[in-house]
Amino acid sequence: MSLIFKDVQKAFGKVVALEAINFEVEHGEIRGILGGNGSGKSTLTKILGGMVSKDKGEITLDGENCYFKSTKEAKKRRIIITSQELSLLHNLSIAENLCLCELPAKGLFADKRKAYEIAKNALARFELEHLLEKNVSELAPNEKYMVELTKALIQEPEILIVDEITSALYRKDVEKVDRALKELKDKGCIILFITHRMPELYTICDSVTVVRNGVTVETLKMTEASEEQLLSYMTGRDITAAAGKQEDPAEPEEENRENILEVSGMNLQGFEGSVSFTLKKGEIVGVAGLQGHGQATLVRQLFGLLGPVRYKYDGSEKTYHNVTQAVKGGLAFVSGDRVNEGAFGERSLAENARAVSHVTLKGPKRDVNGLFQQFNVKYHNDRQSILELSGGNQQKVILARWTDVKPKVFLADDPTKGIDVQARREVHQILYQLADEGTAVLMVSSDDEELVELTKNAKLSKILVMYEGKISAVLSGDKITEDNISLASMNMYREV
Amino acid sequence: MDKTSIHRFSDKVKVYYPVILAIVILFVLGEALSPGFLGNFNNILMIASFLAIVCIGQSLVIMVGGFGLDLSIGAMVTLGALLTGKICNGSNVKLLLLIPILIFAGVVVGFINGIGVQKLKIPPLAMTLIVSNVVVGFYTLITRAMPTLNIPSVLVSMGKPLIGPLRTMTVIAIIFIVLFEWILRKTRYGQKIFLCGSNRNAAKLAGIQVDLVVISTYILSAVIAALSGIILLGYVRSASMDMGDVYTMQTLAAVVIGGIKMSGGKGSLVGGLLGSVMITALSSVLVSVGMLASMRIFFEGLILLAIIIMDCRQPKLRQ
Amino acid sequence: MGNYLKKTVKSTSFPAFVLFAAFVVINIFVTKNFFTLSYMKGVAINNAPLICLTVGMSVVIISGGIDLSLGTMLSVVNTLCVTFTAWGIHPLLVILMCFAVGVGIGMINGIVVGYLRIPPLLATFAMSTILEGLALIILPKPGGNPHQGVMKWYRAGVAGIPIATFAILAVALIGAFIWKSKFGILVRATGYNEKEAFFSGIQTSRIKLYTYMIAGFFGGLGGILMTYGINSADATIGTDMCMQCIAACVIGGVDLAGGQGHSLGAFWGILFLTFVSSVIVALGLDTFSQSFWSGMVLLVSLLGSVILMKRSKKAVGLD
Repeated sequence: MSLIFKDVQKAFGKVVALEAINFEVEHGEIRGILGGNGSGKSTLTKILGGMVSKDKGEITLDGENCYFKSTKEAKKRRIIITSQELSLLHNLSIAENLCLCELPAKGLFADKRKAYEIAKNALARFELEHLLEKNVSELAPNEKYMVELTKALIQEPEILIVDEITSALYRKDVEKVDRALKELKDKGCIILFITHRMPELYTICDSVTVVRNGVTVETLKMTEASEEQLLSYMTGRDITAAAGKQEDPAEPEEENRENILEVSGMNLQGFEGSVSFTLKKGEIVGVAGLQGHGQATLVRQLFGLLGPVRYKYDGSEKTYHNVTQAVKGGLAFVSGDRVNEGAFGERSLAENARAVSHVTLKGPKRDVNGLFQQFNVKYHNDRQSILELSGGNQQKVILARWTDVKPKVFLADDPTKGIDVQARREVHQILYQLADEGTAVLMVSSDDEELVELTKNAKLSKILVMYEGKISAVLSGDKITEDNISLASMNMYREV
Repeated sequence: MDKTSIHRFSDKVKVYYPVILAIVILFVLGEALSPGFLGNFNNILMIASFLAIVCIGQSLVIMVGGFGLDLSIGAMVTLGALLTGKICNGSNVKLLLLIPILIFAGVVVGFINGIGVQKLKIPPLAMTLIVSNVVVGFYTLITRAMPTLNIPSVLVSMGKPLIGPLRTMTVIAIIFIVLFEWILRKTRYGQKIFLCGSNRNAAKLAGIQVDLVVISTYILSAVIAALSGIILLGYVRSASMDMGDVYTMQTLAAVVIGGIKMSGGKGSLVGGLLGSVMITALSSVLVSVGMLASMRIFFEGLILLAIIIMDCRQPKLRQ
Repeated sequence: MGNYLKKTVKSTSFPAFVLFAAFVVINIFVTKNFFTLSYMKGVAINNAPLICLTVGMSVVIISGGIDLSLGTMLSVVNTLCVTFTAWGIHPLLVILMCFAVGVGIGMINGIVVGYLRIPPLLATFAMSTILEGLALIILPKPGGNPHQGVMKWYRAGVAGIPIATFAILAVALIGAFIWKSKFGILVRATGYNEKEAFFSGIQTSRIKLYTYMIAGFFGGLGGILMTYGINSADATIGTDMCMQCIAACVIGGVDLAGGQGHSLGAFWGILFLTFVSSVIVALGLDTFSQSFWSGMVLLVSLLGSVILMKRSKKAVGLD
C-alpha cells in the first residue's frame, strides 16, 4: 500500500497551480520531486502538509484519506513538511523552536529542561548540539536549514516532505542529511524530496517524479533516468537540440575598454576582509558562490542601500550616502524578490515602469508601450495592474524601469529567481542589449548554470566567486565552468 | 478612450456604490422617519465638508503606507480653534498672523509624528496618540482652560451661503479636495506617496526618499487639521477644551467607510468625502428621530463594526 | 546567581524597573508624607485599575494584537457594578457578573480578531465606540454606589493592607507566570509570526481568542476595583486609559509588533508613569502645567525607551 495522489487540482483565484497531479509512492521510498519554477511542486507538497487546500482530486495513504484541512491535523497523522522559507522564530530559543509543534509541559507550565533535552538529542545526530546556546539570529544559513530539518525529524514523521533545503548546505551537511533520510526510509517512512539539484537527486533519491505546469509528467527510477532525459521532461523540450540552439559564443573583444567602476579594499558589511575588482563599460560580470557569502551584500552595498559607500566610479572617487544619490549617479538595481522589492502591486504597469525615470529622476512622462513591446512583455494595456501579469513579465517591467534611464552600472541580485526558462533567456537578452549600449552589469545569481550561460554569450565578461565576504576566484574565458565555480565556492579553486 | 479604459474607470467607481447607496438610503429613511428631514441636506453637507477637509490629512497618512494613521488630528483641530481665539481676539487682521503660526505648529507636530513613526519605527497608533496628549496639555496650559470667545467676524461667514446654496465651508472643502486630489494624481509628489504606500522597499530602491515622503504626509495632516480649526471656530461659534476631539475617530471612521485601503498605496480623497457624508447623514437621522447621544454613539459604533467586518477582513492563512 | 543577575539586567523589563525605582526614590524626597499608611493606601487604590488594564493589554500586544476597548470596557463594568448593586443583587454575584461581562466582551473581540481576521486596531476601536455609548446608556449621569459593606472592607483591607494592594500583587504574579506557561510560549510564537506559528501546528485563532478573553478578565477586574475605589461610577471614566497602558507597555519593553517583551515590564512601566505623575503633582505646579508636563514625560519616556531598545536589538543582531 502506498501514498497515492489522484487527479489533484488546485487554482489560486484565476491562476492554475495544479492541473492534474497523479503519482504513487511506496513506504520506505525516497521520491524526488523535480520541476522548474511554477511547476507546482511546492503546491502539491503544501496540500499534503495541510498548508494549502485542494480543489479536486484524492490523496490517500494505504487506502485511507490523507488530505487534511490544517497542519495540526496533518501533523497528528505524522505528515511533516519542512519550510521552504525558513520558519524559525527569532524571539524563541532554538530548543523552543525545535519543540514548537509539541511543546513539553509540566501541567500548565512549559518544561524547559525537557525541551532542551529533546532538542539536544535531536541535534546530536547531526553533531550540532553547540547550536543550542545560540540565538536564531546568530545561525548561518546552512545551520538554519539543518535546524529546520531537525525540527521536522523531532516530530517523528511517517511522511516527510523536504522542500529545497540543500541549496545552502555544504557537502558535509548533505551527507548528514542523506544518512538521516536513509535511516527514516528504513523505518518505512515515505519521503518526498523536492530539489532542483541533480547531484542530490541521484545520491539521495530512489526515484523521481517530474512535474511541469501543474501536471505530473513522468515518474522514473533514478537508475533508469539520465540527466538529459529529466531535463527534457522538466522543460518539455528536447534538451540536446536546445543546447545547440544557443547563439555562437561571442568572440571576446581584445580592445581596451574603460573602467567604469573600481572597487579596492572595500569591506563587506558583516564580513571580514575586503573585496577588490573592476567593472569595464559594457562588461557583464556574474557573481557566484554559496548563499550568504556576501553576494547580496556586495550589490546592495554598492547601491548605497547599506549606508554610505565610496569607490572610484566614472573616472573619479564618489561617495554615495544613500540610494537616491546612487540612482541619480547612474546606478541601477534589480532584486529577484519581486514581491517585496520590485513590484508596486497596486499601481499600473506605466507607473511601475516610470518609477525611476519620471519620479526619481524627474524626467517627462514618456509613453512606455514601446519599451514593453521591445521586451516582449505580455500585457493588455499599460494601465492595468502589474499583478495581473505573470512573474516573468512582471520582472521584465521592473527591468524596463531601469533600462529606460540608461544606467552606467546595472546591479542585480538574483533577478531571474522564480522565472521560467523562456523569460529568463529574454532577460539575458535585455542584459546583452544593455551591455552593447555601454552599461556594465554586475549580476548575482544562485544558479551557476545560468551564470555560465550568461557569460559565455557575452562579448566581455567574467565571473567573481564569493567566499565568506571575499572574492575567492575571478574566472574568465574558458575557465568559466560550473566545476570551477563550485570549487571556488568552497574556496578550493587554484589557478593553474 | 478605448473600451478597457472605460471599464477601468467604472471599476474604480464601483468601489463607491455601497457608500453612495447607503447615503441615499439614509436620506430616504430620514425623510420617512422625520418628515422635513431633507431640508437638512445643506446642513449635513456643511458638517460633512468640514470632516472631509480633515479627512484629507488622514487619507494621505494612510495612503503613504506602513499602516500609517494620525490620531493627533483632533487635538490639532482644537489647537487651531483655540489659538484662533487667543491670538486674534476678535480681530480679522490678526488672522494673517495666525495662519503662519498655525502652519508652524502643524509642521512641528507633524515632524515629531513623522520622525517617531518613520525613524524610530514607533507604531503610528502609539506615537500619534501620545503626541496628541502633549498637544492637549499644551493648549490647556496656554489657555488655562479658559478659551477666548472673541471670534473674528470674517469667520462667522463660514456657515453662510457663498455660491448659491453652498455654504462657505463647503466651498472651501471642495477647493481643498480638488487641490489635493490633483496633487495626488498629477504631480510627482503624489506618485511618490502612492509608490511608498504600495511597496516601501521598492520605492526606496527606485531612489525615492521614503522618509521624507512619509514625514511630509504627517506634516500635511497636522497643518490641515490646525488650519481647519479656524473653520471650526467660525462654524460652531463657541470654544471648549475638547471641541476637536471627536474628529480623530470620525476621520478614521469616514475613511474606512469610504473604502480606503489601510495598508496604503491606492485610494482617493473622494472616499473620505463620501464617508464623511455618510457618517454625518447617519448621525443626523439618529438625531432627527430623537435618539439620545449615548444611543447614537452606541449605534454608530455597531455600524462601524459591521462595516469593518464586511470590508476589512484579512486573507486566511491557509488558502 | 551571576547568570541570573545577568539575565535580569539584559531583559526587556529591566529599564522600566530602573525608571520605576528611580521615581520611587524621587517621590520619597518630594512627597512629604510618602511613608504614611494613608499615602500608600491611596497610591494602591487609585492605581490598581490602571495596573490591571496594563497587564491585560500587555498580553494582547505580545500576541500580536492590541485592545483599544479596554478603557471603555472598564467604564461599562464600572457602570454595571453600581447598576447591579442598585437592583439589589448580592455583591458577590455582582462581582462575578462584572467579570463575566469583561470576559464576554473580550470573547467578542477575540472572535472578531482571531476568527474573522479583522485587524485588531480597527476591531477594538469600533468596539470601544460601542462600549462608550453603552456605558452612557447604562449610566447617563455619574453616580451610584457599590455595596457599602464590601467597600468598607475594600478600603480597610486585611491587617492594614488595602485589598487593592493584594490585587496589584496578584496581577503582577499572573503577569509573571503566564509567560512561563506553555500557553505563553504559544502566544509569543503567534505574536512574532502568526503564519509560521500556524504552520507549526499552533491554533493561532484560538490563542488570540484566549488573549482577548484574558484582557477582558483584567478589564473586568479593573472596573470592579475602580468602582470600589471611587465608591461611585462614571461612564466616561475609562475613556482615556488605553493610551497610558500602551505607553507603559512600550516603556516596559513590549514590542508593539508582537512576540517580544514581558508583562512585568509593562507592570514596571505603568508604576513608573504613576510615580511620575505623583512627582509632577507634588512639585506644586498648577493643574494646567501638570497635564502638559505629564504628557511631555510620557512622550520623552516613550521615545527614550524605543531608542534604547533599538540600540540593544542592534547589539544582539536581531532584525
